[in-house]
Amino acid sequence: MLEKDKIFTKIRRLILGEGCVQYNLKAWECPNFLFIVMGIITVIGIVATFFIGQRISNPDIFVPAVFFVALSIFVPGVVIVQSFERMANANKIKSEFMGIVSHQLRSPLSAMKWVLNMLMGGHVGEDKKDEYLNILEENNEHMITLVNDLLNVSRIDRGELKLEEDKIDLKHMVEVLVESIQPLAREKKIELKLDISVPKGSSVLGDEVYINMATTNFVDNAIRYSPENSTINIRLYNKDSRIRYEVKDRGRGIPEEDKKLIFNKFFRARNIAKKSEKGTGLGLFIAKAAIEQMGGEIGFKSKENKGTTFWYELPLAKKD
Amino acid sequence: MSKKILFIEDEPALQETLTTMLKSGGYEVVSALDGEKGIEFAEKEKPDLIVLDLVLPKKDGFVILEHLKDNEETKNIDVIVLTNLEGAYDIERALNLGAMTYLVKTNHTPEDILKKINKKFET
Repeated sequence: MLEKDKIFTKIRRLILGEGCVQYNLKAWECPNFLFIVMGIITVIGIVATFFIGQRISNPDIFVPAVFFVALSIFVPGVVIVQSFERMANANKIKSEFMGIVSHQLRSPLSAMKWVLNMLMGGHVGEDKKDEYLNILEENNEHMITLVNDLLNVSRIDRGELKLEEDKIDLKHMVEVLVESIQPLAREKKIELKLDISVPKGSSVLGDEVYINMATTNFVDNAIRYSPENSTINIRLYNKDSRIRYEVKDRGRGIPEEDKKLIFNKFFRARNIAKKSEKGTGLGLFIAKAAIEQMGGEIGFKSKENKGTTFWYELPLAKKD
Repeated sequence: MSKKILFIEDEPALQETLTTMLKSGGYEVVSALDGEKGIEFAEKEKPDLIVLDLVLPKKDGFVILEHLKDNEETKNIDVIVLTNLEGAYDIERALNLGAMTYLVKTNHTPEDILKKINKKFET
């Protein structure tokens, strides 16, 4: 993060308060900010009353002046009460989120605990030991991914997501990804059609880990929500001074009412937990934050029963 | 004759481990990997006990519980809820719907669960 961004975050935290920054609330939803505004309005009201009272001998002017001062206290007061309500709601959402997340964390933990109990209790025959060790390894990996996702969300909320700035060969990254994900697609009889038209040697500037995460997330989701015997189109091409990556599926599409919420961490986490799917559902939230921090853009277009296209664009790196 | 247990759980690793443990304890185990299959097997197999997860694909555990307890043929089958949901609301809801016991997966090993089931059938 740049020095001026750090200073900006510190000022924001000072004016809005830690809670508001953490929950990403707007300034007018934060009690600290409203107290400051209320204070300023009250001081202006008192000073105005004093000066007007001095200049005009007519005592009738005091009535509207007092009314003005009262109003200047009353209105922010109402807004403050509302903002406390919003904070309470934010806390409620946060605890619901914690509930969902702890459930998701418990799944691999219980699998590991049960497998260890079986192995250590001598309940597993020699022929099955490898299978149990594989379950252990798989759930351990799953657990690490979950914890990393959560740490990333926390970093994003605090505005402290640290990104590297390297030249990334997206063409190579996409080719490797498609190769490695083919078995999963084949299992569902899905064809992955790859169309790469970026000139050789062109690269983007950004953090390899997070670009890979976003790139993989789009294809993972497309496979998850695609019907059997369908095609997923993966495109990579130059668009002005950027490279655009697109993944188009023929799934059910995203319902209209969910479109606004698709990059919202609470919405995704809640949906994933309800559907008994693995993961935290935080991938798109993290991808959006990371791609935007790299100077890129991310989005999707979707039609119900036709399918969804997720895309991101990243600025081209200058050639050496 | 050995007692029959229906285990409704979508996570294959948990299915495998607890099924192995229950079989080693002398029980016959029927496995269902989603809610719809769970209801189907409960009605068809008439198990002596159902071990039920709550977060399941197709139909969740609460819907299954409600369905089982509303159905003359299945309403007397004891149901142990075995889940990772630990909210007071979920526990109360499951018990009100007729679950016999509520167990949290991370707090119990397959050995513990087998012991509890043995105890249930002894009494």
